[in-house]
Amino acid sequence: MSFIDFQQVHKTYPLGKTEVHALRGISLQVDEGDFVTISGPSGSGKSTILNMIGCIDTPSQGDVIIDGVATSSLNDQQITHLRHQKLGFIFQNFNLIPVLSVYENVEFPLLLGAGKNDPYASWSAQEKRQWVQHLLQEVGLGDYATRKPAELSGGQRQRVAIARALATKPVLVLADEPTANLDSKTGDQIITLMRDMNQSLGTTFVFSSHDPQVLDVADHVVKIIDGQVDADYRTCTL
Amino acid sequence: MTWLRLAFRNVFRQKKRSILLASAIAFGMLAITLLNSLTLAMGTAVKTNFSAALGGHVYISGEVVSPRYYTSNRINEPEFIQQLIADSGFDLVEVKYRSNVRGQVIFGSQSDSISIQGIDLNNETKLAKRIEVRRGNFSQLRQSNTIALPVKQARALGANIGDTVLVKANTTSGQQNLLQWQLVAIIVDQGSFGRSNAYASLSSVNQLINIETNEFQKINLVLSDMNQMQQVTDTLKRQLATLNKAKPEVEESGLFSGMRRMGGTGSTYVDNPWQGTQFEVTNLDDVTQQVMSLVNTLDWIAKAIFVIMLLITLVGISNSYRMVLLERIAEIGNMRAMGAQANNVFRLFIYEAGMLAILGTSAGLVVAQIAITVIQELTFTGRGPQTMFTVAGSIPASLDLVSVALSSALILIMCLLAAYIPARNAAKLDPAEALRTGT
Ligand SMILES: Nc1ncnc2c1ncn2[C@@H]1O[C@H](COP(=O)(O)OP(=O)(O)O)[C@@H](O)[C@H]1O
Ligand SMILES: [Mg+2]
Repeated sequence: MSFIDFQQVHKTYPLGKTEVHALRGISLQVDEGDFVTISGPSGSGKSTILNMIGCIDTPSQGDVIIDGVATSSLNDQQITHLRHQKLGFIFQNFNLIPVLSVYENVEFPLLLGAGKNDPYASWSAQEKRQWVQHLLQEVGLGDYATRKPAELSGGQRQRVAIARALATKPVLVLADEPTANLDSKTGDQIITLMRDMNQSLGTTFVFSSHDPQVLDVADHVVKIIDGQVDADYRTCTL
Repeated sequence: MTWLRLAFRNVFRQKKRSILLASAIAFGMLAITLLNSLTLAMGTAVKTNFSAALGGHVYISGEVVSPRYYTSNRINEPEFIQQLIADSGFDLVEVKYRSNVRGQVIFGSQSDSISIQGIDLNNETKLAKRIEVRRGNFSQLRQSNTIALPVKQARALGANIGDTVLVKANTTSGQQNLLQWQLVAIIVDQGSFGRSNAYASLSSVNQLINIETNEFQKINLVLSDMNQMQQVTDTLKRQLATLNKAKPEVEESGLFSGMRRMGGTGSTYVDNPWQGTQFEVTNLDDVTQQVMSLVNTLDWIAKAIFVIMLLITLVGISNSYRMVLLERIAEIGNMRAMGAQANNVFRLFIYEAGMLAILGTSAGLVVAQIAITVIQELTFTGRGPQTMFTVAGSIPASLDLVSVALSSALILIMCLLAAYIPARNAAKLDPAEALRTGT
């Protein structure tokens, strides 16, 4: 069974007296370990799809099943716990906590309280520290641990966000247009970094982009137009 | 821990805003603490001064009717009242038997008016310790026809130790009397509104006012526990009433009615004379009642101002946190996405408000303590009625821990209440909405 399973998902938003039909019957599957791109023009529904995978939004119709559980069957507390346990997030605006240092930002998800099934629940403080340091090293920011987000460039901030998204060893990391606020060279580096992490840690990545160029790196591409799947294919993997 | 740390950093995120809010809280705390400590100091000073001036906590005075139907201030049944006190079993530090009179002291061509306390030094031990003897020997007051004068009067008269002075006063029945006394001590007697008494032996004063040697005009009871004042007073009143020895109570009001009652009412004509002594019992609280009610009114006004100031501050805090909520909408959405529960977000806001309150309160407290220290150092040399509010020339201000604890708790609770609604709104934010609208 796929880790993510969308079954005929619709989403409508109220807009004044009318409604916006953001998703019009989306069905898609994502397997563990995949590096998935959701691509499509602005306003096509990418963020809406990612929000549903990320359990921060629920469908108006149809089912979103994450790891065998329909998200609409969970209450706010359970769904928050599921996010904490299994998901990591990367945002277009980086969304680091400005009053925390780079190190503290990456550490933050680890301090949110572990359930007994979480991989890091049994870690000692020492092990946590080593893991955070390791992640910072991996994203190339080993020397920036004590900096504040405001002292970093956009690319560096997004690297911190990647490290933070990976801190709890999630099954899946979601990235909504992670390169949209970066120049193309830095954007490429970020995509490459995510790809590296996908391969070294086996973490599933789902990221969206309105830039058709990024499609080459993905091994699973979902093209969305006007809230519908336009194309859904796997590229040849090695 | 994570959330406390985050809250702490957030407090200092918008420094200007936090400092402004904390200052408002600090100012409120400073004002209430200072006002509280000042009114408390006034109360303490009033009680200390009155208790020193009146020489005790519970006062028993007596009235006797003369054959000509005039009352006079004296206790002509000393054994009866002494026995009553002895039988009562009160926990007493001292029982003072005293007569006093306002008289004219004359030496050569100079004269000065002064209140003369008749004391029995064999019975009173505390007084000799309180009085500072500049010259001569206070214990010589045990002999009759001796007097101790305050420095000021002695100087005004130009009298010295060993000199004989003339003392002129009215007897209890209103005749003038003139006696020759020897000056045996020159003293400084602090603590009765900065005014000093002259002292003479009880029997000499009795002679001056023409009552029996073994009599006296009043008894001052010094209790070992001042809080038993009312109980002792009531017991005595009840016993005297049952024995038909109590002076009928008369309604009197006015600022100094208590004092007047305590001092007796002077000589008046009565239609229905009584046998022996009619006793009247009053205490320090009766005497200070009027002044204390003034002090208490001030205290309540201070509290009202504090509450109003606090309410204004609260509106400020509540508005600030509403702004904070808007500023951090994306951050909150982000934290919720990462797995922070709604109640974590709620607590973050509450912690921040709590820290702000603690910060402001502590700052206010520090400034208040400094101000109180400065006030303690001030000395007042005047002799007007304001001396009622000073003890030995300074204001006995001190930090009142109970009121500090109460106002701190009140500030804290109010700040938390002010942050409650913004905090709840922050917790209720829909993460998707927050991430979409916030930038
Ligand atoms: N909360 C919302 N309220 C109203 N309309 C929304 C809301 N979220 C998204 N939409 C609309 O749904 C459509 C899809 O939006 P979105 O998923 O953000 O597209 P994309 O991320 O591909 O740019 C757009 O037309 C957008 O305006
Ligand atoms: Mg989008």
